[in-house]
Amino acid sequence: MKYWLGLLLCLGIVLSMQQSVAAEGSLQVQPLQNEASLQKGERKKGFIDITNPRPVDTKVKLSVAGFKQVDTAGNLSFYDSEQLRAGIMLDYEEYTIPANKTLRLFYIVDGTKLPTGDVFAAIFAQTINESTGSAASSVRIGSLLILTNETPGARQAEITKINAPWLQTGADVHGKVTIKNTAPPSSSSGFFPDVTIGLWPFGQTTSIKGPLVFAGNSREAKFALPSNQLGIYKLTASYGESKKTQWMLVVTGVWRWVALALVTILPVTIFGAVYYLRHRRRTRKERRL
Amino acid sequence: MGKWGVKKLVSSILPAIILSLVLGVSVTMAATISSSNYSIDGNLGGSFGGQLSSTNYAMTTIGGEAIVGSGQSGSYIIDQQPTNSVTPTMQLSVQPSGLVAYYPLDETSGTTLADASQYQHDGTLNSPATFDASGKLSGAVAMNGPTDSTGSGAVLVSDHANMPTGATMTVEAWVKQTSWVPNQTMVSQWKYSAPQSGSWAISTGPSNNSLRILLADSASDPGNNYVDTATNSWNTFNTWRHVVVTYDGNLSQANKVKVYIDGVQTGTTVTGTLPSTLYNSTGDLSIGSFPGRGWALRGSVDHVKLFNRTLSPAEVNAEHGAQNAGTPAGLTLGTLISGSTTSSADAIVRTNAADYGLSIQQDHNLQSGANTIPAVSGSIASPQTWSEGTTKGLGFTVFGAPTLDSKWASGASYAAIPSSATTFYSTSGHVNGAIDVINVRLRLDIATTQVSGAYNNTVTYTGTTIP
Repeated sequence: MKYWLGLLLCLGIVLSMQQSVAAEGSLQVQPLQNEASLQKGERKKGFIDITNPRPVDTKVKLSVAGFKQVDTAGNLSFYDSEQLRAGIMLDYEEYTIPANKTLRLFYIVDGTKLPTGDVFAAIFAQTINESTGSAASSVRIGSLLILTNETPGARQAEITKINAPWLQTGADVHGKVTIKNTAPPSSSSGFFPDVTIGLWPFGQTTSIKGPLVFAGNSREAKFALPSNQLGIYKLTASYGESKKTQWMLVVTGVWRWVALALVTILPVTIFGAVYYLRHRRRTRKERRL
Repeated sequence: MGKWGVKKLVSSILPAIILSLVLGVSVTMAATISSSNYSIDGNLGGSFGGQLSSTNYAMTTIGGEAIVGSGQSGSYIIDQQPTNSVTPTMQLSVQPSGLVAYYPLDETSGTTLADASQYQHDGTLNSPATFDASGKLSGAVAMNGPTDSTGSGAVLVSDHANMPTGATMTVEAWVKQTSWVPNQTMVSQWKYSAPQSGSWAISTGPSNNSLRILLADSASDPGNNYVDTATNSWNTFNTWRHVVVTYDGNLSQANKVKVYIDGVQTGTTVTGTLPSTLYNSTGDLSIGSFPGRGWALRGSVDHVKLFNRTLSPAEVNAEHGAQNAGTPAGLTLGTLISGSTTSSADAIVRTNAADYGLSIQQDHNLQSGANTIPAVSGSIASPQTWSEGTTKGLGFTVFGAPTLDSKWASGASYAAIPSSATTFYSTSGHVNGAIDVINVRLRLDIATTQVSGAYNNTVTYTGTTIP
């Protein structure tokens, strides 16, 4: 009895759900990321382009949120912040973008209202559903604002790992370097560390812009150092006083073709020489007989 | 100013320079570039960092552009997608899963009609077919049946590997026939001229104000196997009507083909023997005709979609409802009778960002007044295997993606949708130009004690770059 009662109740849900329709969405936003510095008390202007690629007018909600990094892959989580909303003022909170048109939305960043130090915020454009339903869907795209307001947060980091193949045979020396932001996580700071990559001896040095690393977090940065070398080399990755090294056999650039030629020609030469010597010895034996 | 600063400056002022040249306005590389119609601050380096004191952002009417509101704010509307190769861009859309071809037919000039699906197999408009500005959703394409005896005057798409060829398919279109004329084709993939290569066609029937859906069982099938809708089921003209045909070759003859008109299934009768799989035609997909046979439509077609799966009645109803309200697609969890119900969606990402992430959140649990349906127990960090009959609540899984995390167990493990945006998919090294499709499936089951009602919530998909 209880089962049939339950089934009937379920049927009641069915009928209601069938009447509700959820709508899809589609949006395009650019740029996806902006970095800037604000002097004390400075206010600056910027814009993002929000495109409605759909054939119908689309109502879009525009909002500001904070973001933080949650893992070593750099994934983000977003949170509401009254202070960020006050310091990043959008021209509109809601706007209906005509079909196949772009809204160039201006905003003002006000340094006097934002927290000092590193500021991480996102401007979101989100489709608004006019209909309601079971799991009605909406899409949202964020344009990230990475700001330094007055004095930047702590810029301390260490190289914790180099991960590169011990045998390098391409057009470059490549690999990954892991860098950790050693500032206390409570400082809410973060930055893009410039990592120096060098080969010793006779190798060049280059600087790569690492990914955004939040305080207390680690990230991997890929590098590729143009190379035309042969021999055993020491790879060094450094940030400030922190460095890690790795020895590797480098056969890059033109040397890989030379090595290939040697590997191919040498056995043929040896085989030929052995054959020649054996043949000559056999011929001499035959003459003696 | 560094090298990149110069590039950004050039990219920001270049469109204005080109615009000015087109208008015949003299341009100088000054801080402010202006004409009688617009004024743009040349100091604007990229999209951020312009001088706050500058009043030179406002744009008055010019071409397809217009100021927004009073113009005091600075924001304005411009034609779609200003070109800016310096800044990364992202487009995110959500569609019912299995979409293999999608022709919104909203173009107004030229002969190319874009395929908005991930596969981008564009179609070609062939005379005497023309653009129809008054489509169901924006524009449409009008065929001119009586003057096209071969069926070449339609939108034609060359056969490709992504056309449905298996045991399941759904074809969806909006059709406006001007008056009853028998044997007029709305959508087809069936080459009738020699060498023949048939597969399927959706046409009006030979009589009785009905529809006929033909399915080929061989390349040279003359059209002996078909499904007819009931007499007078197609009797409203000069108005847009939503037609959906689903095919599932695994079902019985009577149930292989289902026809929906305006979101409602209509009765059918079968003649001949319907095949268990679609015949793999090499002919063109035709919107508005039956190539080689003629049968061109006297009327217009809009918003054509092909899926490689069979949409459920609830999904068809959702598509009709959403499009009738002006939105190109609909998603719903649909019927919940016994056991769990699912709804699959494709999150389609187009971006030139190398690293990006997708987050998901819901505004609240499914809610009807004071009653709620809880979420499943799994989390995004640790999804749990769905156990039919035991798992209750609303959950989601990822069952397809360019780099699918093993924690989803190919779509067998489910997580609750969190209340704050949480990353469920991320990738690095995305190749510019590639379109990523992330297949998401929502699944719901309820306890027998759940109180009935209209349960609602909104699921938001968020896309951002990963800095």
